[in-house]
Amino acid sequence: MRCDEFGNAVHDLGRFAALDRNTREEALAHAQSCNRCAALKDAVEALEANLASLALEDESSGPPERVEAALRAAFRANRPRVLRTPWRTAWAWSLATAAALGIGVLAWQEWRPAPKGPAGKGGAPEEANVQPAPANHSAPQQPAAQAAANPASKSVLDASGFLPLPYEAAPAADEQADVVRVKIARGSLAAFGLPVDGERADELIDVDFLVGQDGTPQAVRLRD
Amino acid sequence: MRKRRLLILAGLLAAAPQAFAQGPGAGLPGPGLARVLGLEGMLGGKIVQGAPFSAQATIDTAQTLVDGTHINRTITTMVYRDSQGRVRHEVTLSGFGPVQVSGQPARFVVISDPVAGVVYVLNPERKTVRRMPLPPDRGAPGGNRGSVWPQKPAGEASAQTESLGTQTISGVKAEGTRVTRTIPAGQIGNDKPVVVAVERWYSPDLQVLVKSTRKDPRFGETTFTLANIQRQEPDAALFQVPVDYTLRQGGRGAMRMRQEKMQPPPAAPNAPAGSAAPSEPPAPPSE
Repeated sequence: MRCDEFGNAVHDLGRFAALDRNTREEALAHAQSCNRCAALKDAVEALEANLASLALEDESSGPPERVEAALRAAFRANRPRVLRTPWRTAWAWSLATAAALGIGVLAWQEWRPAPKGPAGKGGAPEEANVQPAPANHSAPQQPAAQAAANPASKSVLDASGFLPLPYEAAPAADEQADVVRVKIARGSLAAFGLPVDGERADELIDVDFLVGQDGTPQAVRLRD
Repeated sequence: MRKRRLLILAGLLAAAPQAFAQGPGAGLPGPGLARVLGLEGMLGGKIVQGAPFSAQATIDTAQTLVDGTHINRTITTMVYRDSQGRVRHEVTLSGFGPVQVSGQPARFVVISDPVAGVVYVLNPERKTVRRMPLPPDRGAPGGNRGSVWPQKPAGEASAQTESLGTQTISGVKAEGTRVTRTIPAGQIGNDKPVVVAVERWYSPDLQVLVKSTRKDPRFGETTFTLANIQRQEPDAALFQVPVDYTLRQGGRGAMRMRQEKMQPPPAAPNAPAGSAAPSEPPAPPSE
């Protein structure tokens, strides 16, 4: 595995469903032989781990105890009955599988990356959804060829998963920045010049902003 | 039984959105609003030793909306660095460019300690602190975390960089650079070119950005200034976590999270006599 390939894979090392076994093993082996990528892996892991811990910052976000108790009670009450009627289980699994397939197809259609152009790196769902585009909110998304001709569309997702905001000045090498996680409506990303599916504009999503010393956002990363 | 199950399910469905959405002092963000969930401190930047200072950082933003409304905000915080390279900076978040923070501005204090190899993010409101390791490529003086910066697209060649010479800003000499980016007409639906200009004034002596001005017709004008720069060694207690803070430390995923109370810090070699970790978090920055 090359360093650039490792850079693409490093963010999925902690997500076991996102990488196949061979790629994972190749990436780990590469990190053992390459000091730069090993350092990158450590940095990404530290970042991921601590951002994951942010969920507990908001203790009241968890379900109330009475809801959890009711849920557990409901599972306990229904479990023996389900076991006694295997045909219902079969039907339930069939319906669930069909629903999952349907959702999967819809999700794939919604999230599939644009055809690869000169700027395409492919793969990451963030890239498919957050490619820079005109800030004209009402304008339809560009065709792939037109997007490729747009210099701003050639943004590169680096190993940290951040996508530079269109036409934002890159931070100086000696300038510090903070990663801030926020919850916003997907439609708000349009204000940064990013394309937004109008039907999902009200959907709340978690994003990380890379915020410079002057408080302005310079890059964005969608969370899973 | 089926009716009972339906009732339980309906109850759960009704309760879930509220249960997962509520947070203290802030509801779900509306259009153009963001709810701050947390902060991971300090990426990039250099570890600078032997150049201590403390300063007041001011961020002024001025926007004019399409209806002519003017929005002006000023946020003032403090920045400290000791001779060992430890940095403490306060963060007040009231917005991100065109997106505003819902409710009160979110406040954090970030302490980067390359001596101990850790970064602390303090939440003064909750009196909690998160501890995380300093990324390895920032562990040595002069090192930085350049590898985590997003790479700018190679094709974005419309940026022009020019030197602005040297000026004295806030009592220190600083070298200026202006980067101008032009969004060509038609690129984003604009009928004429949009010029985005960023000026940076960097002190080679202090190795810190002392002033920057960003003029972007899309988002307004933002000015960052370091003022009242004092080059004495800051109080060592500023780089320690108050003992009444609860430490939250976690591995990958929340299930491995654990909490513990902060232990009193060992006496720092450069701590003034009688100094101790402050029992209260620093005064919140004024806005």
